[in-house]
Amino acid sequence: MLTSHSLLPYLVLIPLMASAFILVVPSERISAIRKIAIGATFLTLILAFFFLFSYQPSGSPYQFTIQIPWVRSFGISYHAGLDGIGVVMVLLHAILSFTGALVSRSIKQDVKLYFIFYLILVASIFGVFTSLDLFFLYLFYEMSVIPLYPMIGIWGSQNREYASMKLTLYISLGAVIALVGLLALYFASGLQTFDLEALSQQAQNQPFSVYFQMWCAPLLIFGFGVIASLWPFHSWSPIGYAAAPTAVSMLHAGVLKKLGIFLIIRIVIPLLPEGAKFWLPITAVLCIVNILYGAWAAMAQKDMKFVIGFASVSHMGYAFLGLACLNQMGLTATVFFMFAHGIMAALCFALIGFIYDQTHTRMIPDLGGLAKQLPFITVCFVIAAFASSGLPGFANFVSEILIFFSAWEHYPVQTILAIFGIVITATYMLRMIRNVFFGPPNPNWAYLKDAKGLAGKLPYGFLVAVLLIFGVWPSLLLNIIRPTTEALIESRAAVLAQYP
Amino acid sequence: MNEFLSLFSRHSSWIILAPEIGLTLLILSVLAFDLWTQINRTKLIQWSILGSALIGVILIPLSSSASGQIFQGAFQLDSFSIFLKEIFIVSCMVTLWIAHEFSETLKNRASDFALLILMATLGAFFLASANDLITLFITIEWMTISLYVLTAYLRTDPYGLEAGTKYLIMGAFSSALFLYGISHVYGTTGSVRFDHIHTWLTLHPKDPLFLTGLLLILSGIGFKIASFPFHLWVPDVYQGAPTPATAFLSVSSKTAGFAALVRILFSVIGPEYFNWPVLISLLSAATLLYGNLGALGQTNMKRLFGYSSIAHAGYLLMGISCGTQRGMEAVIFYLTAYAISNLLAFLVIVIANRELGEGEIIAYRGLAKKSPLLAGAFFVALLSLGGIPPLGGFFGKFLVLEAAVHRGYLWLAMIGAVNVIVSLYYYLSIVKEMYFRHAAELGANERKMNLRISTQTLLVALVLFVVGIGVFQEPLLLLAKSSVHILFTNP
Repeated sequence: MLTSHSLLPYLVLIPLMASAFILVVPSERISAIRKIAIGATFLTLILAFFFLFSYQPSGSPYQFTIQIPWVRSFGISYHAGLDGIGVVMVLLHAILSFTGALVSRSIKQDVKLYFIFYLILVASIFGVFTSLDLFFLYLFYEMSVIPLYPMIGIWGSQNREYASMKLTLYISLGAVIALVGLLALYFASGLQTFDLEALSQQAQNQPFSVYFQMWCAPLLIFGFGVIASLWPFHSWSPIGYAAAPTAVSMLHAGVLKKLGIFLIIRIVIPLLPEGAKFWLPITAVLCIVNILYGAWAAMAQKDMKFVIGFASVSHMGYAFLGLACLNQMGLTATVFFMFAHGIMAALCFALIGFIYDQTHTRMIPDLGGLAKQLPFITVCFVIAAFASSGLPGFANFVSEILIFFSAWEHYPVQTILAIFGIVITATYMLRMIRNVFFGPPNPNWAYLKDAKGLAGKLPYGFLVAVLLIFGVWPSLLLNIIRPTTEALIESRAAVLAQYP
Repeated sequence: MNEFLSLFSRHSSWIILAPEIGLTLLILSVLAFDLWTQINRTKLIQWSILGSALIGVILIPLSSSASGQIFQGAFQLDSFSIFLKEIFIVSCMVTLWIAHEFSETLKNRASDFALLILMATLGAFFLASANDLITLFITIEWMTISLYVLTAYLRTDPYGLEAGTKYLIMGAFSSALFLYGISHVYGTTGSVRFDHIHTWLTLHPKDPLFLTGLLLILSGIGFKIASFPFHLWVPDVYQGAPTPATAFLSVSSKTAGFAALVRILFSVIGPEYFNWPVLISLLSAATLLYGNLGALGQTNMKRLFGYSSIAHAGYLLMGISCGTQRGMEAVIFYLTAYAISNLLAFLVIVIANRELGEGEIIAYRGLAKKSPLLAGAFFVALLSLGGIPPLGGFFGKFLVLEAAVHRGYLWLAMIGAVNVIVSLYYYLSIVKEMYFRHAAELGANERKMNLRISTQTLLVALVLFVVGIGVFQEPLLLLAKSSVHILFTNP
């Protein structure tokens, strides 16, 4: 029986099956392989929109749930479900994996292998967002790291070998440290289950000892913080993005980075509220280094991808700041910020990829005056840059302002510094636009062709449209996110009440 | 079927010995065909693969219908030994297959090589069922002596001879330690039977002379499993030995060592005596660090696998050091995943080394272009050894770390977790060589490799098994549970 609640595993299964199917397609049939990949990601996009519109904000906390016992003796089950946060993240990932598949047209060599890895990556990220079982959560999380290594290594650009190894090892290190924390959690609960709902229930009725929370929480916060490029664990990030092929940069900056924050919200805050209360103020200090140092480093870059790479390090600081507020508005804003930033960062990487495919350079001094040849791309990039600098009218503005409002109460100094980061962001984004797209036209680039036709413009236009739609109509997502974060904060109100 | 079995149950001692009898007959017939007929040597290997498959599919399950002790208690069949025998026979089959792929180098001495592998496996069968120290010693020697010959099999290869000599000297030394330890134990307890020693120990829980004997025995076994500080022979021997022998060393010989270790620590001693879990946990940490750090700079493929096999011994020791049933289940799962992944890796290595003409890692450059299947299978094997989901090796590591956290060895679990990253570095470096070179960088000597259909099938089957136990973990876990149960119910 195909009911709506059993549709959730298909988010994982469709890309995996498509990947297995591509495995048996002869490698010469490139266009067929592309169609399968684009078709599979399109199906997941339809599913994601279906979940978005059929999610009931006032309904039960987790919807579309399905639970299949997997390893009974350890209390592992395949338990999937979506709360308001999950719905938004699934939507973000579905949008980016579809557009990522579209812009992967520029991949010319080993297309078959590329899409096999790409679809495994897509499937495992869906797995993280939908799992409600710590074991599967970790399994999908670690699984998503591995396709990145060959994808950056084979199809990447400069410094790809070093960058792919560094990125893989850093993120895996964070993952295994978090794994030790998760195992400690499993035993400390005494429930013999990895089920998140059961553990969360237990944590509410009978909280873990404060001592346990104090040492377990940092394992998880910093373990997952690595993938969210929390300073000082960020150094893999710009270099990894610079080397990665376009679609990987998009997915990585857009979605994978958010996994860290997502997992902290999903695991640490409900299960270890005391630990969160102690450790998140520390990340609130570190994240200011993220914001300012990332922005400052972005100022100094000449490679466009490095600029956006450091910008994303800088922007993740805002997410940590919102997270550290540990109140309903802060969390809601953080989730919305992750969505907005994901779309914006992916759009930037997609556009840079478009330019690089033709010019084979991303160095800002070599480019200039591209607006004449690439009007459509220029418009899209200007929109992305405005969104990035937090101009009103974009989803990014809404979420950043909400983060500042809620952070002001707890961290006034950090908030002022963070707002200063926005000024730096505007500086380097606008400077990049001026130097790349405007100024005197460079005769070297007279041959460039703009994105043509519906198929060519679709990925960029789609992302711009998403940015604008949710910028003017943020309540569409906020109304879905808010009940979940509200319930989360209220259920831990006793602990979080005396928060600084 | 049941009536058929009950017919035999009156002669249950023969049922208990069925796998050993079958394997002996197989060895004798291989020997006979080799001596008196002109049958093609590689054909003979194929027949012995088929024969050992039959033993694994028919005789071992048949023997499991009966259990108990024979030969005045020297030979004991229980669920643990049945499990070990299945591992040994699978390892034997794949190793024979590897030898089959290697038969160009072995030439007309290929059948003797197969015979030695079968002989060593027979020794391992008896080892799995050994129930006293003398049987244990003899069966370990039985395996090791076959392996001395296997390692030095290529008489014209100086590295092979070096490996053989090194292994011989180290092996003889460890045997001497082992035997000396037995003499202490026998001297203090007056028996070599496991159950008798255990009973004696309950009366004299802190005998220093016995402890000396125990430590000597553990040192002897330490050589077999390549645990720190008895691991020094491993890299040279792994590198120099013929590839099938290396595969056999890394799987069957290591499994045998662990079987002996587990029997002694659990059936003879029991986790409550002498506080040995602490000792083993320290050894585990040192072994992990040494193996993984040593592997980092390696340029030769088999040498790298030597170091990595030390590291895996560290993870297995970590499971044992818990001294709990949970820990032993983890060990069994880990061992299975390690055995299959390593056999898969060596199957790839033997083919690749043959086709590429050398065993340096750099020679694997561009393997993905030459043979996508071979590179893909190697990729899966390496990731499984590195502990990446959703492969078997991941769940093994997960269980071992879980057991360590459960036991309270948080520091050890942390070392194990961080070592995953170190091992990932050298495994991924191999992936880099295989996949990261673009066609333009590879030059003109592009040559597609052609593999036999049967070998392709085996590669795919092993890959599916590695993925299968990683995704559907429960059946193997239940098997592990039932097979280690006996270790914790014994007196």
